[in-house]
Amino acid sequence: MNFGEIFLGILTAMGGFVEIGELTFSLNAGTHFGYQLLWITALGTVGIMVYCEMAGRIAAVRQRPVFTLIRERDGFSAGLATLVAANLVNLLTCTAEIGGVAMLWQLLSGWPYRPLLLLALLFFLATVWLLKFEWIERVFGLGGLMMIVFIAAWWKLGPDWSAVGAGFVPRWPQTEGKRDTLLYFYYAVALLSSIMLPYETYFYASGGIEDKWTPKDIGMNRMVVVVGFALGSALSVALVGAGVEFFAPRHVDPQLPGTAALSTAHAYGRLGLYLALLGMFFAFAGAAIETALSGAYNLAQFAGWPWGKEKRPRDAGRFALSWIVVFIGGTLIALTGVDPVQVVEYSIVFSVVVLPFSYFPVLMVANDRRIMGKHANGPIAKALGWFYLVLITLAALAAIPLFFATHGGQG
Amino acid sequence: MSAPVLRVPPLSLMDRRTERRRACRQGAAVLAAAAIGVGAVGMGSHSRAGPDELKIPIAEARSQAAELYWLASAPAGVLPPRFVRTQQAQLRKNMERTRKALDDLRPVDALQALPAQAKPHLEALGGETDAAALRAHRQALAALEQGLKR
Repeated sequence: MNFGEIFLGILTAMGGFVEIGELTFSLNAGTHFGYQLLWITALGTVGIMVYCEMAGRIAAVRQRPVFTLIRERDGFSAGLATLVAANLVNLLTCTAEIGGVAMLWQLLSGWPYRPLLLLALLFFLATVWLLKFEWIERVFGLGGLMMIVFIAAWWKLGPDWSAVGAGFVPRWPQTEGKRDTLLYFYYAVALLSSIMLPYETYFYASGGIEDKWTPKDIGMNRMVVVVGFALGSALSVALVGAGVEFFAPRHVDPQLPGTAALSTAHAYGRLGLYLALLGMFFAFAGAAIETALSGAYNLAQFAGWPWGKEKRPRDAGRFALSWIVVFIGGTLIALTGVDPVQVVEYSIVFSVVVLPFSYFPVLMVANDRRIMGKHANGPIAKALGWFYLVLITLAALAAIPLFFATHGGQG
Repeated sequence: MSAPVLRVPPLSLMDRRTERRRACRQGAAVLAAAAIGVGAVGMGSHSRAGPDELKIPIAEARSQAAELYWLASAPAGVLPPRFVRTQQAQLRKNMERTRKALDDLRPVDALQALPAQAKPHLEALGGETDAAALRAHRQALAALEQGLKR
């Protein structure tokens, strides 16, 4: 693995970090609570680094993807419940991303929404069918880098750097009452979940196996995860910043992808607007593909079917059929007229419940010297793994009560 | 390195009839749990609406008015007309949802008059393009929202 490939991997990880749910939650976290939730962004970023690194390492050393581990370690019953829940979340997230793509195309073309949804379905089916795995990663990851315009726009808005710095320090929230405090914790859980979305780990580990990683790739895996996700989280911070500096003073709570692009249009005119719209297109489309493939990976790995994007469909027919079904299912749900942003808000909150079941087997295998040999977790990885497992378990327990107490995060 | 210690070999378990039956049962249980959750949300929506419930659609309407105002007052040339038209159309779709959500609420007695105060602003927003008028609607909705804060 040469430097160029590592650099490309980092850029891809950065460009693929944000999707429609994270965009909405980050902007609204800034609008409602200023920079107070930045520490959650940092916490979630380290968490996804820890677990993607472990899952990638297991893929490199033992060629075991996450859902095979889940079935082997959690057992059939718990594994199956995790599979159903994880794939429901995948389907909902895929629905939201397809809807988001159609909305962005509508803003660029002025065409009606529903025909664009069908066009998006054809686009996704053709893309996944025709492009090789590494090109899917590169095209959508690198295209997503256009979202850097959000960082530039935030910078130009002149953020209060002392408030930004203070936001990274965990503290009890300064809110306007009990309901606002509950809403703060709801946002904290949702933001954590949107950064640590389980499909990212499933997809990352499966991708490592698709790319035929070996123990020699462990260093590259660590570098890509740490540097790529750290840079990706800078995008999330900039989105929180756009919420604080641009939308809050204008009394706007962003609920549409086009609304998010107004902050970049304000800073850089039409160029800023188009960069933001295109960046969001690549980011949402990349997430739609990842969730559809992730749904197929999960099912095939759990059931023991042959799987792999690089395999010919005739050799992995049930796998290919699975991702096609996820795309078609997502499009059909979007065609009913549901609001994609609302769909992703639900899917993100419910995905936190899946997190402990997905990450526990990863941690157990990565800790196990009999399986991982000298590549097993060291004391730091072990401590971080257990810390995050406890954290996401607490978040999973709090997610549903907070969801109801805050009327689905609306107040 | 010794052989991996894994409890279950990667077999095609779903092909076995008993396992398939068990899979169906457990899948149904997860779906039932999800349905109960959705049902609970539905039942919650039929109870009388207090200030917290009323604040939600009014805050949405305030945000929609604020964005329409920003679109109307943006300097010429910054935003392509097609983008503005489509964004306004997407916002109108959301405003329709907000209006429906407001209609579906059954406020407690003390707040009976509030939806009637908010609705004219929401209805006017749909076709309004004048920046000053949009600003006035946004301020009126913000005042209603403020009045509901506890």
